[in-house]
Amino acid sequence: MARTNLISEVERRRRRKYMISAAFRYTLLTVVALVMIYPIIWLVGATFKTNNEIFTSINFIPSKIDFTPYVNGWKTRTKFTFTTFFINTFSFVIPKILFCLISSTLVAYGFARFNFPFKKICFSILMATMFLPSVVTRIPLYILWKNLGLLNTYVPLIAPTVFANEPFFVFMLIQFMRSIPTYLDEAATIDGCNSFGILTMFLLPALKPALISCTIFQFVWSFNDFLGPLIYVTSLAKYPVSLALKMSIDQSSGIVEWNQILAMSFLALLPALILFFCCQKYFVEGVTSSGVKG
Amino acid sequence: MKKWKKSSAVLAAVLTATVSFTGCGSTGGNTAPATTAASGYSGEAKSDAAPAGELAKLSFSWWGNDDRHQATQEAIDAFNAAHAGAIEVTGEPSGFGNLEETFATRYAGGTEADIMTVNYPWLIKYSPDGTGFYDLDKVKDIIDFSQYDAGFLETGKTGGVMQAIPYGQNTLGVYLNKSAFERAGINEIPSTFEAYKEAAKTITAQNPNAYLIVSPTFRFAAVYYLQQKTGKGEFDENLNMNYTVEDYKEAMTWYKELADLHVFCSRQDYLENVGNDPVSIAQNAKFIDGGYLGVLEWTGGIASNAQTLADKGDELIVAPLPTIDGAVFKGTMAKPSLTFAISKNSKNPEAAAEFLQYILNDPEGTKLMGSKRGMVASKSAKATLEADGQITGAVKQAYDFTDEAEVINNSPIFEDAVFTSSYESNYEKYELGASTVDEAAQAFFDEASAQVAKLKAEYGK
Amino acid sequence: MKNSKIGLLYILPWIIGMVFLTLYPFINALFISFTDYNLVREPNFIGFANYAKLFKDKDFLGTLRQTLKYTVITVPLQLAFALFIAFILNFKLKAINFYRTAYYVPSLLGGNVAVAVLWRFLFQQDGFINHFLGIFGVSPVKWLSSASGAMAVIVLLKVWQFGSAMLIFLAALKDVPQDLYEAASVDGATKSYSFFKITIPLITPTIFFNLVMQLVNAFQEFNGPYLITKKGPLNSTYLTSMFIYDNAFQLFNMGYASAASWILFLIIVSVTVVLFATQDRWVFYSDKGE
Repeated sequence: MARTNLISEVERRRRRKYMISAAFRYTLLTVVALVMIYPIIWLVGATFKTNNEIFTSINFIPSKIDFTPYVNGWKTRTKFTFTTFFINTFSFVIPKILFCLISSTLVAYGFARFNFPFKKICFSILMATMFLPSVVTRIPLYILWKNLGLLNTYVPLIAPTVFANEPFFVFMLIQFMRSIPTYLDEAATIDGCNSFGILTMFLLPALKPALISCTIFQFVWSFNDFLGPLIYVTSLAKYPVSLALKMSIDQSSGIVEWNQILAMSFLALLPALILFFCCQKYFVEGVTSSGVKG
Repeated sequence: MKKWKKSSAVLAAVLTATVSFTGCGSTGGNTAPATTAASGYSGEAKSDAAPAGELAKLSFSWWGNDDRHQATQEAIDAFNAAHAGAIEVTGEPSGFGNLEETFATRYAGGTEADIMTVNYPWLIKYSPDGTGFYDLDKVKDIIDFSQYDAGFLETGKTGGVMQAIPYGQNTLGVYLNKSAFERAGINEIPSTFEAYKEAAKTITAQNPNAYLIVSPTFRFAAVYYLQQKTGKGEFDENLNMNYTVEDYKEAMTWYKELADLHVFCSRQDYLENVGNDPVSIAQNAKFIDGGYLGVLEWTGGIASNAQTLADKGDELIVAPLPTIDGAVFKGTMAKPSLTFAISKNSKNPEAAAEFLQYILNDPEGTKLMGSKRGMVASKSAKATLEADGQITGAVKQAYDFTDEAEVINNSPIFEDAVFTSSYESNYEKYELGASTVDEAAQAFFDEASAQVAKLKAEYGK
Repeated sequence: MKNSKIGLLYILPWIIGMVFLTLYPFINALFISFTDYNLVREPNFIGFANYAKLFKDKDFLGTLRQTLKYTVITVPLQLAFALFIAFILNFKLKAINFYRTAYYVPSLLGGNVAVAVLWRFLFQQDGFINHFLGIFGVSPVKWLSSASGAMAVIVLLKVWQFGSAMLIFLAALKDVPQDLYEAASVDGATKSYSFFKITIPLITPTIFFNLVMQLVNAFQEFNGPYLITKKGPLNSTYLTSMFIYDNAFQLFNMGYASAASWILFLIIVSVTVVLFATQDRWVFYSDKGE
């Protein structure tokens, strides 16, 4: 009897301790989360405010709710609406993601699972290409694309992903592949699988979380990229959302309908938010990869 | 294994060869377009022109906000409709960010638009000898230059060649929040710096953080002072510096003194409430709330400043130009707001000139373009806008001010970024106590002299 | 690991792209760094003059110092924060999707205009942060108009945008077998014990990856100062990448800018080489010894 009392006492204490730590954890998480998302809340509020209200108050609650900024912002005062700009954006972001996933996986596989001559040199170059500040290569690249007659197309934006030339993704996938044990590869080889088969049948499922991360990063970065399109895309009909958004921001004379700009920039954030939210379950599913490890 | 090493060595060799080949090729490729363009500049452009009856396709690049995009697009549509089958203009609008970066990249690549908006300081930079853009004298039968003040038109020339048409004049002036002055009990607008000192006393007694005048570009206030003191602009025609180290020291001391008295905004307060860069304060909280009671800025910014104050029920007025003690010159400075040029690579310069004439001088075109690019210099455009009732309120005040003000036209190198940022950072060091005024003036003078020497070499002066 | 020509085949796309899209402009940039190229006029070869001038340029040396300072402060802070949050988010929590999304939001915002506007609000003298600190009796800090304050602001911005590093950690944590934790907890190990003794060793490749990436990013940081503080009071937030950008696209000293970026490049490379050299001591790969 005394013994069971003791156990339940220990158990109770344990539970209380667990409750306290859970409460602490949730409070902390919630407070930090609020700090993190406050800008979005403010942004949404600001889309309904007048210019003066935006620049003189940190409070996010607008004095009135009125969707005209969304309607007018979407229409724009150019020949095109944001429908065009969104379609434009997707028409190069989606190919970028697909090419990036395919080419980066192949190249990462080559680096992570094979020894070949000059591998070390190649790997060093791969790493090094991440380090040179990109601003200096912009002019030579521009002239290259100009000589190829591909200005004012999306080719200069997509090409680096076709050739796995965004080393961040390659390096990331290499790191992930290296943490996947190789004995399965060997077993599969004995079973008569060729190297491509091993990649698609064994490695890809294990890489799923990493590939999802790549998708999100590539999507967010390409969607927001401003300098690339600024230089390569000149005609309004081909403008992506990021350029269209900056069209009206005037630092020098200050005549700006900020609520329209903020409304559109909020809409521009939505695809990334939705994508991120939807991909959540794959992160959770990522646990299955540990099953592969056995 | 060995075999493999061999073949990969071959592969590597091939790769290296490719690399060095493309490496060398690149430098040739870099300059080639520029050279061909330059040699083709004089006559060939014309021979490439579309024969009569064929559609001449033109592109027109500009930057601006939505209002400007809309107005410009309407003008383009009307022009295209009137020239259906002969000329078709496509607009290439952009925002205000990264202006010169975009321009320079396209210019270097020889892919600039047929008709382009060019900032005044870029004229001498991209065309120091008058060969960087199409020679507009060749189309003087199409563009009516008589609508412009001859002296002002000179600003569009480099190397004696008409390279660009200045769109309008920007004049530096002081604009005050009249309502805020009145609320503080000051009904007479100051016209000397002594009067400003008195006003500052009254106002800081009520709001210790208030400043009377913000000058987003700190160097403007200094040059304003030195122009009045010496009667000369900062640079002469041959790009020499007109002011001495002592002059700059005096200007810095003068500004600091007035900043301590809250006449001019201190650097510290500017960093705190506006930022590090010269930007419009039209949407600055402190300006809207009356914490800054005025601004020293180009006339181009007056409409937006007036608008934000009007939204709060305050009135912005153009103040009489304040003068310093012992002023030799009682005026201010001016520059072209922006200019339009035709590409030297354009296949249809005549059609491009027709379009420029339409948006600059034609009654229909200028009416559609409106006042979205600030004030106009063309007399016919101004008449059209006046008749159409587009010149009212603060903009009307700005036109009157421009007509009356005595001005020294800025040297085209005046707005070179080095001068502005060097002045700002050295004044900042002085004000924040990181250097003495002697060191700050000397450092600015040395940096400015080095930049002047460099520009002179580049522009062949 | 197999010795195979096939490896070359897999990396072939990268080789082709690297030669044309990376190496070619890189070498071009190297060539430009020995000239006075300014986009408009023909470049003249001027030898090492740009490099010699850079080593005497106070502004440039100042940016190197500030960049180093920025990197040394930001990277450990951001990594620790990202790892800590990822660790917590890896537990079975209610509303986990909401939290994960919330923590990634700042990184989604990136260079959005709202960030620039809001951060100035927060850090102004009578802004939210100073009011908050006031509750604890801290006197108002000059965040935006003092040298150290401005540096703190851009460091905080970077730490706030820790989402990418967090996601990568999270993906790695998912690969740590749960049974290891269960076994440890049966043995009576505390959470912090299993964190340091089980989690960290197992995800060292990811820590290494994030460390390298964050270092590279921090050395090239541009967004924070560009959005909020610009050069900062007394050039306190004038970082090398801004110096390069200013010279390349504001002043069009392409030669000078190229030389500066090659110096920055060499610095980043040497730091990374040192990191890779230490890798054997603390990074454990599953494919080791194959």
